[in-house]
Amino acid sequence: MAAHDWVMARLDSTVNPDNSLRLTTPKKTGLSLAAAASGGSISGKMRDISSLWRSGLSANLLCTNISDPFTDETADLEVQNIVARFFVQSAELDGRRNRAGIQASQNESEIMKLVQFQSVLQTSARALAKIARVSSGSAKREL
Amino acid sequence: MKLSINTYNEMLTRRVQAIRAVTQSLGESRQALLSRDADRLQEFTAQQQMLCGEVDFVDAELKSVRSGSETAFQSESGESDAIAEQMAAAGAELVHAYKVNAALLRRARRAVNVMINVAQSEANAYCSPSSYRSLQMGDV
Repeated sequence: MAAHDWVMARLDSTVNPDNSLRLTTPKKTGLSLAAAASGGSISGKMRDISSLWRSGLSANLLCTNISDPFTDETADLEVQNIVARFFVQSAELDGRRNRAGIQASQNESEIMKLVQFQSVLQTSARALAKIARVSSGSAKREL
Repeated sequence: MKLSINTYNEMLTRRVQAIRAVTQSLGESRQALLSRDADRLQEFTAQQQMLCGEVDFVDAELKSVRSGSETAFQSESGESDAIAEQMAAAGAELVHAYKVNAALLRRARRAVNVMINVAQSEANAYCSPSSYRSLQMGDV
């Protein structure tokens, strides 16, 4: 079963009341005890994760709002605008792709892509930390 | 002394240029991140690291020029002031670009981490021996 199917199976079992019994039946879902104990409270999160998973490495990746105590609100607001603008620009291209029947993500290879992408993001974050030091040096600089 | 001031101003100009180059590179890497183009993002990251190295190098040179001359570099205030303004503007642009990129990167990293966790929990999920999945695997 692909990971996406796994997410969808859990989504069905948490959202659809007819399937709600599956949550507490390990032989059907293999769901952890903790998840089963939390019951319907996880359905919202599962919905978010499912839509995130379906997005794969698409632009939706950047639209997901996950609570972050370290968020810089002004910068985050600007990022939302940037992503929105990008969406408008790329909507036409995505539409063409969908019409051509190309799937947004191939789940089998998606995990590998994600791990690679995560590594690139990590490197980029380290570079940004260095830039932060340089920019703070600029701010403090006395000529 | 004149030579020292000119050298100093040249170094400051080099620093301003490097800072502007970092800002520009951040803008381009933002575009690469939006397009999920990992290769290009990697290239821009390497470029930014190189430019940071250049800024560090210029900073070290500036420090040595300063320490080599006891006189403050204030005498030719016109040129120095102009460079100071450029430096402040370039610095402010860099801070802004940096903050936006950091927010975008945080967002992307959070999402990717969540997705990887989902994938990993799939790999570690317990399956009862009598589950449909286990039976399917047994059939193969």
